[in-house]
Amino acid sequence: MRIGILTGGGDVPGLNPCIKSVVYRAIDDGADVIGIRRGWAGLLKYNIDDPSEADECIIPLNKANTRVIDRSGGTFLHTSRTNPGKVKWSEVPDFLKEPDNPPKEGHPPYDFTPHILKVLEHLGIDVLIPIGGDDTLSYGVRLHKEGFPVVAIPKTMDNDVFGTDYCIGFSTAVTRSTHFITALRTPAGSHERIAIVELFGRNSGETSLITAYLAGVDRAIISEVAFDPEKLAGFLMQDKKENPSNYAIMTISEGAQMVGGKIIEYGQEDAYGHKKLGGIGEITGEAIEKITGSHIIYQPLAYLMRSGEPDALDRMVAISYANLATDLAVRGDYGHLVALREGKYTTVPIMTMTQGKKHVDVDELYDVDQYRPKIYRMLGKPMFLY
Amino acid sequence: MRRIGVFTSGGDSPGMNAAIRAVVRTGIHQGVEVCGIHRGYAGMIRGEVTQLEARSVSNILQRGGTILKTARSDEFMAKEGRAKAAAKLKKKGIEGLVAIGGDGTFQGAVALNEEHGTPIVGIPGTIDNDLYGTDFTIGYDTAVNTAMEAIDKIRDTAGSHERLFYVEVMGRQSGFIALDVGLTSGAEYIAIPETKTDIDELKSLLKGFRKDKSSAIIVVAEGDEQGGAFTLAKKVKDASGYEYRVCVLGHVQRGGSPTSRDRLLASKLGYTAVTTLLSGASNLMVGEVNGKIVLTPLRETWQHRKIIDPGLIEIASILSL
Repeated sequence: MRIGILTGGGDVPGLNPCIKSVVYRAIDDGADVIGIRRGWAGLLKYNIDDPSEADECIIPLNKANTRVIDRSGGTFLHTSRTNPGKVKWSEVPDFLKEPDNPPKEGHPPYDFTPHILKVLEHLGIDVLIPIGGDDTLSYGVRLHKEGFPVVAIPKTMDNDVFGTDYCIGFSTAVTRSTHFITALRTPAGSHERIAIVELFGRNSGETSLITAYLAGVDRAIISEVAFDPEKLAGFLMQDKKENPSNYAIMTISEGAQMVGGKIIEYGQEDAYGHKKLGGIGEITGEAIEKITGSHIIYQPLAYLMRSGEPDALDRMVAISYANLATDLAVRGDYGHLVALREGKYTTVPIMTMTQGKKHVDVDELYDVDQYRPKIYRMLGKPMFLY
Repeated sequence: MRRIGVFTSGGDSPGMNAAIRAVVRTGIHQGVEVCGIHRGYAGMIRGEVTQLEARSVSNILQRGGTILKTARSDEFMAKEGRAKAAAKLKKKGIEGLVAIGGDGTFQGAVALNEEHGTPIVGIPGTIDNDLYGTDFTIGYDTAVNTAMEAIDKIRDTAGSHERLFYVEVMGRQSGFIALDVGLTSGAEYIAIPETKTDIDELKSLLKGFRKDKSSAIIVVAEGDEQGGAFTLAKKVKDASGYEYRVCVLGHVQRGGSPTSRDRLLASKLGYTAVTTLLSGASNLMVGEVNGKIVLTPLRETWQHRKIIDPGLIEIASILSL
């Protein structure tokens, strides 16, 4: 039995402990493990006819070369956003180019799934464990549909993979955000300002909501609920007045939008059709400054949220997901997404991911009038509220 | 002197509270009353003064920011504003001042002293470390450590994505923070206002790194002559095509609990500021040079430019090979 493992999309804390645990568990169960480097790009760029570059694409994993990886953040396999089902003309590897029909600008993305299946067969991989968010795992779904055995592990600091309540990286993102918000309180208080903290999270407001709940900030704007900047400014001025240190602090999702406005997007789309988000916090800050006349501090936390080593909860989930996924893989039980639901480790069919979008349960957790978390019905909720 | 005032002005820095505590308790020990003036010169003009007791400054040693608040005051820049401030001080019976801040704070202090005779001693409190007359300013060590820890984490992400990261640190006029942070976090390049940041040089440097380094981190002082991190990153991309990510550390560098070094410096300087003021001296800044407490005329602290150590720039460049 040979397991292939890869990490794709943005890195999150917890990936290295997850990789290490898969390797240790698989070896104990008599399987061997091949690490695929740089996400799906490692398979796309693997040239069966020319093994000279193979080291760039794969690395056989064992206990010796994964022993210490769990002590640092990021992913030692590296990562990419490549989707072999949708490869841009400019990113087609040379050896896959057809001499009489070279890739052209403007041509729809190329699908190299037949090549990927050939590489998997060549490497003798029996089952794949991709670790990723919905983009990376959507190609896992594709391979599953092609009949290839896949067990998927969800990770993303946005916590927005549909089918699981929890994705590796979310807890550390919130831990980190809470830490920096506490640090920002002293400059905000010393200068008596309104501080706007912009958080990564794409189109899910969970990072903003849960950080606000835990850090006790005055207001939280989430992607799911459009906000009125004037109303928000009024709340913040009131919050500032009532604060003995005369400041106010709020969180805002990078994907937030103003009432009647449009989501702020710029930059090129990645291979999954997502535009890079950003800028709403700065625009909101300018609006608040204009409306209230109060000076503001605008602080995007960005990469600070997902860099560095995992907190205890992300280690717990990363290692436990690894155990569960390896268990299934070794048993030959495929086609699953490992998941947490209502506080329990479980699995859902891998297709589940494609059947919906995960968002904040606004009715249950958010006060749309007051722009802040509203969590009253605690009885029966799982530890992490989801 | 029976009553002295203490205030913080300009940008806040971690350790200011430790300095306030030292001023208040030393003053009380020396038998004078100590008043806290809120919101710097703006509060001085408005007479925002409260008497501080030994217990008023309990439990603030470990906190960032400043309990006295800080503000910038346009009114104090004018003669009339300073006259108002002097009148308020007289009314409140404040006979001497301890000013905690940077060069802007000290320029205001000297003007007030020259026009109204108020004795003033300054304590260097700024994260930028750009004051002549002291090797380190209060808050600098904390800011450098905060930024260094952030970059240690960012390196994991840069490595995973094999990317070029530009990290912007504070320092509008000077590269002290950027140089120390860059050196201690192993940055591949450090862009500071004191040295020429050459796009072509950077381009060829990065080209070399791409052969055998999986990621690169460039630390940029916000006041670098090429612009901040976003501008520099764009210029390098236009010249080389290298994709990048930017992280602006911003105000998180000012936040948080002061390091032991900053608390120690703040305590020593706070103590010395009060004993200096009570000895009848004025228009001096207390600082630490080569491990010794020294006094420097306030005017010199901004008239002389503190020079960044060229040897350190050289070391940083060699060690990032």
